Amino acid sequence: MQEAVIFKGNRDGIRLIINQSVEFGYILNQLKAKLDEAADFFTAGTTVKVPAALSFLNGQQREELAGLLAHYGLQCAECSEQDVQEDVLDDAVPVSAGLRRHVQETLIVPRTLRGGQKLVHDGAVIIDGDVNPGAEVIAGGNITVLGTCRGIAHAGAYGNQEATITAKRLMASQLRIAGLIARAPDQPDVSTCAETARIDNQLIIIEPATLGEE
Amino acid sequence: MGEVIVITSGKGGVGKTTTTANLGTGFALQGKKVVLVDADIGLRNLDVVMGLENRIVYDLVDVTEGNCRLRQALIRDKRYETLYLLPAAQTRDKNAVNPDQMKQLCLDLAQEFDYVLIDCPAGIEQGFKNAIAGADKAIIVTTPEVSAVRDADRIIGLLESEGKSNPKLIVNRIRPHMVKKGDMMNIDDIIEILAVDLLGIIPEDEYIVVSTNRGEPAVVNPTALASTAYKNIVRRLAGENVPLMEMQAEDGLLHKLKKIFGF
Repeated sequence: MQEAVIFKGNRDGIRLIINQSVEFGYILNQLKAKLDEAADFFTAGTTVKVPAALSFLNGQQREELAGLLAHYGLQCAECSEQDVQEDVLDDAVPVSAGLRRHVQETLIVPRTLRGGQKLVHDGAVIIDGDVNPGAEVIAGGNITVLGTCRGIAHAGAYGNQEATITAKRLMASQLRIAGLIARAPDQPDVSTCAETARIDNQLIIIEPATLGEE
Repeated sequence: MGEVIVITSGKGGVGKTTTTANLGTGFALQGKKVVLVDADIGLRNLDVVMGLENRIVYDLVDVTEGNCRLRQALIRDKRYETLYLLPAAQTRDKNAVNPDQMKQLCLDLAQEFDYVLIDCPAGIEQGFKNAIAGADKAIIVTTPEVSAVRDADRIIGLLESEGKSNPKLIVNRIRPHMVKKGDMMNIDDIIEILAVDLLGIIPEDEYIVVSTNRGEPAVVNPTALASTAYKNIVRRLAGENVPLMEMQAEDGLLHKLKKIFGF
């Protein structure tokens, strides 16, 4: 039998996919059953995007759906199909868009950010590639670059002073953490080991990274 | 009220950014207050050539969009106190600014600086229109190549239709020995086609590559061949009458031998 509801997770968060050929009452029942089953899986306060909500459900149905999700501590976010497919790596994502959500998710970017590309994310960011000169990474949480970071990295962009920036080769032209900015020296030295930048006593300091240890 | 000069060419890679950086630094060497404006939004380079990339926090688009004050976006040069850079945005494109905003920006800058030099992007589209909008004067950069001269001619026409007549010409990357052999267009050929005033000629100089990579304009180095040429142009722009540099073909080995043996 075809499932009436499916939860899908991707880098944008959790989406609830509704089988539009099924009657609404049945959808609600199925959803309830799923949520009961997986109650522990969802953290309270998690936002669930419902891509079909606008086009497919009417006002009352939407309210019922949101009510049911709220019962399990989940927030219902309506969005069009398009919003979901939109690439997070848009050339210029407004910072304000990131400010509205408070979910701390880690975004994994499996490629190199090139000059002129700007990535804004409200959680932590891991880049499996390089950050080239002229590229910008802005994250609410920590930034980790598995390759070389030569662009601008802004961790803790919404004020988190504990945020850090780590890279296999940390040669960023600018490092920003919360409200502080540090720029590269005019004669940059080549970094030989993985390094982490963090705030110490209201200054951005760089030290050898202690990966995996705390 | 300062002078607003746009440096443009139509064709890419002929040396607009290098010229902007060197003329600006040249003015600063004379103690003039100068600001360089990078109008190449999305493909900025002037900050790299000036060695100021790591100091950028706000840019031109932040200014026009009101995200910061003009003062906050101006970066003071690391060598000269009277030299400033207004960098372009890298994560936006040419449509992020319109000609009216650029006009206002140039007016504001001209209040404070003796010279406002605008580095124009290649092409004739929005970026070009933005760059020339606020300019009082235009400098055309070309190289002694047919394609670059064609584009320069097109640009001169477009400037005229925008009411900016009498642009001045800089011929860049002249190789005297090639001109001598007739393998390269000479200055007279270029002037004949373009029919504009010649502001100066810059000899081909390998040191430009070094200086660009170092982020230190060649004009700073008095031994560089191009340095004197740029300094002369700066003096001409300031109203002095400086004769054109004598272009001498560099002597090849064979030529030197011939000289020694008295041929």
